[in-house]
Formats: sequence, structure tokens, C-alpha cells
Amino acid sequence: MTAIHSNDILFDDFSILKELVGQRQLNLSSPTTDCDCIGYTVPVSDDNHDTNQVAPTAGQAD
Amino acid sequence: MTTTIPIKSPQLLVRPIDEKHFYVVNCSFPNSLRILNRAQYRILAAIDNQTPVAALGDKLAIEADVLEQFLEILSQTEIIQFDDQFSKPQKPGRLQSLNFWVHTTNRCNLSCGYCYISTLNSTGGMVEATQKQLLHKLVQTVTQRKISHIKLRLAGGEPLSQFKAWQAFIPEAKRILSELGCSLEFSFITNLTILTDEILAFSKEYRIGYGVSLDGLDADHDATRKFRSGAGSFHMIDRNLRTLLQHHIPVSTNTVITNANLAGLPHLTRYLIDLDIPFRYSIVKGQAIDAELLETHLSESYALMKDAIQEGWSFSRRHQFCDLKPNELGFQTCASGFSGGAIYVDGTVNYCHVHFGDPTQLAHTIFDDTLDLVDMIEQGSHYEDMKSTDCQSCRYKAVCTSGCPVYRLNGKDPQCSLYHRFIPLIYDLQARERLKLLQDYTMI
Repeated sequence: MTAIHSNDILFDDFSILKELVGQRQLNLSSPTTDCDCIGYTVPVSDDNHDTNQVAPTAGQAD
Repeated sequence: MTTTIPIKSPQLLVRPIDEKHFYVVNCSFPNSLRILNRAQYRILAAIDNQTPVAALGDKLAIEADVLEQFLEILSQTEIIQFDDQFSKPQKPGRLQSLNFWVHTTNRCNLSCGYCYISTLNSTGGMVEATQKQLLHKLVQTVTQRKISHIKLRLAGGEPLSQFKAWQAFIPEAKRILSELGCSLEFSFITNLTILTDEILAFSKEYRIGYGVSLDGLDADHDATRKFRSGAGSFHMIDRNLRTLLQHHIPVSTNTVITNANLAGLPHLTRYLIDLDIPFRYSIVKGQAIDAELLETHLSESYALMKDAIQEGWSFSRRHQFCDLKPNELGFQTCASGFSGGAIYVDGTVNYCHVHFGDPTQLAHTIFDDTLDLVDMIEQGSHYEDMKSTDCQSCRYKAVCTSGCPVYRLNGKDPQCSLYHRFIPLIYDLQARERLKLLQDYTMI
């Protein structure tokens, strides 16, 4: 068994991306919270959930 | 650990992404999607719910400690467990947030043929005394129930025709509830034909979101969403959507797919991707739709989304299909019957806004001072738990939660078959998005 093989087996995409982009980018909520039907949501911490509904680039659309 | 037996979740979905990568998701555990390489996929495929870890390691020629570490990773989101006690989304013991649809007015400046409001244009807007009573009920409920968050979706009729009537209410209500430790959030459910500089500035100041009805591009929208003069409204929606985006005001669109607009769905999808706006597609309820054409045009639309993901478009943050909740999952479809309901222009409280004006539906009123809003929800109608036995054993039961409780047929969403085809596709696209992110960071 090689070390590369072990690395392959222990590849953890969630931990890698949590380190790179933060957990809030990985914990997804419904994209549209202002539609005509809406579910139960508990108040969430911005540290854990991406609550941003509008892309930073969205304002550039014309 | 070597004698323990790894058990796969019965709600697993495992599918290939490309020749080298796969994904796995537990459809009963929130945000559980993981990208797997071929070596990991091989291990997952070998788990038969009978073989202990040590024997599995021998069979696959993998060192025991490496295998154990991998299984620990999988168990974090219950892809596997070491017993058969898998969790499922549950109704929380304590209610923390409320969500009400508020019918601000029966007046509307459009005359859409399919409007479900039976009392449309029969009366004007909510009068000040009713608004005051609404605030009183909010205060009473927050105080008695220790609610920490409330969202009011201001709808109608056209709520922005009532802007002046809510301009004073919104800051006052936010301030009063804030003093009680409760955040109050507002959004307009609007046709977006009325948008002034004053409304824009107010929306920014009080962080008001917008849910906009959009039936399609150009003629597709204009065919159904017309002014009383007969003129279409798309050109105004297009301009005002861009204005909201330019001002960074949270906005999303909601398109109800019918036979009339489904052929235009791919064009609309391209438009919404280019705008980079969150959008929801839902399927008309209570009337027939051509299932074959629907699947064709939806598939075309998802193919466009797949291409856009490769260009960096954020599928999982921009698109929602019907009431499906592939990531956060759910114990019921909407807030009705548990944490929300609908408040009519005269203060009547219904289970859902589609019940407004229906005398056969059980209703309360905010002018009843013996009940707070949660009492009214609890003592009102309850459609939410009427689900078929098929749904109880379905892999996707926490994703679709049997659909809209008001329009179920025999306890199921009428689009059940379509969901079974498109839920895996939605996860496929999420996995592609995740894989691209990993590739962009050269992590895979």
C-alpha cells in the first residue's frame, strides 16, 4: 500500500473547502426566501450559513 | 472498531460525475453531499451492511487505520453509521421563528387571468386599525412565546400600491419588536411594476427583500401578466429587476410553469442566469400540464444551467425547483400549520393564502384577544401531515416533504414522478459545482 493510496482514501472535499472558502459557503439554504411558499427556518448564525441572496457581481448586470 | 459493522444510510444517492469522480449524498441529512474519488467509491460500494471493518479492510487490501479514518469522515454526515440509528429532520421542540403572508390589499394594477384571489379588487388596502392590531398581536406573541425572528411577506393584490400605508408601520414594528429581542424582516411579493426612488431608498434602509412574479421572457410574460389596458408588463419588470440588483437589494423571481409558458423556459433560464438572480421554478397546481413537454423544456433548461456551472455560475445559490429542499431538508413543506399562516386584509388568519375569501375554511381573526398568533396556528386547519404511505418510505421524503399540503393528491405531490427524475439531476449539478470549485483550487 502506498502513501498516495492512503491520501486518496482520506480525501475529504468538505474539510478542504471549509478551510478554503468557509463553512457558510458549504451549508446551503433555499436560494429564494421571498417566493410565494416558504418553509420553517430557525434563526441562523451568519458564521455557519450563507445568507447572501445576491451575488456581488449582480449589480453589474445591465 | 474493527469488529463494528458500517451501515449505509437507506437514503443514499450515489452517482458518477465523470470518469474519475462520484458523489454521495444522504437525502435525510442536511448538507451531506460529498465528492468521492474512485478509491473511495470502491470502498463505499463494498459496504454491504454485514461485513465488519476489519474484514472489509482485508477484502479491499486497505490498512485498518486508514479505512477507519475514512469511515469516520463518512459518518460525520451519516453517509454511514455504526448502528442503524440514522437521524431524520424533526419538528423542533421549541418554535423560534414565525412567517406570515400578509394580504395588504385586494387592489392590483394587473389583470392576470389566473389570479387565485377570489376577492380581487373587491376592497382596498389594510386599514390603519388592522395594522395596529397586527402589531399588537406580534408583540403579544413574541412576549408570550419568546420568538426571536419573524418574517412578514407583504403580498396582495399589489403590495407596492400600498407602500405609503406601510412606510410608517415597518420602522415602528421593527423597532418595537427589536426592543423585545425579536428581529422582524419584511419582503414584498410583487409584480414589480411600481418602483420609485423613495421605495428603493426605503427598501435599502430597512433591508426589504423582493419576490417577483415572472411568467417568462417578453411575450411569454406579457401574454398573462397584463395591465388592465391590455399592455404587457415585461419591459417594466426587466428594468426594475436590474435596478434592484444594481442597488444590491435582495430579489428573487418566481415562475409558475403552465402550458402557456413552458416552451419559453429555456430562454427564460438563459436570461435569469445572465442576470445572476436567484430564481424559483414551480409547476402550476390545480390544472393539467403537458408532462412530456414539461420534461423536455425543463431538461433543456437544466442543460443550460449545467453549462453555466462550468462558467462559474452558482447553481446551488441561484436556482430552486418547486418546494424541494435538497440541502437543508425539511420536516414539512412550508410554514403553514406550524410556524406560519396567512393574514387577510381584514385581519382574518387562514392556514394558507389560497384560502382567503373561502367561507368553508377554518379561520381566526387577529382581533380575537384570547389567542396569540401561535394559538391561532395550532387551533387552525392542519393539512401538513396528510402524507401518503409511499412518501413515508421514499428516499426523497425530506427533500420534497410530499409537496404543497393544500394541493396533494392522495397524500402526494402531483409531480411526484417528475421529482424522482429531477431530484437526482439537481444533486448531479450541485456535485458538478462542488467538483469545479475543487478543481479551481487545484485540490483534485
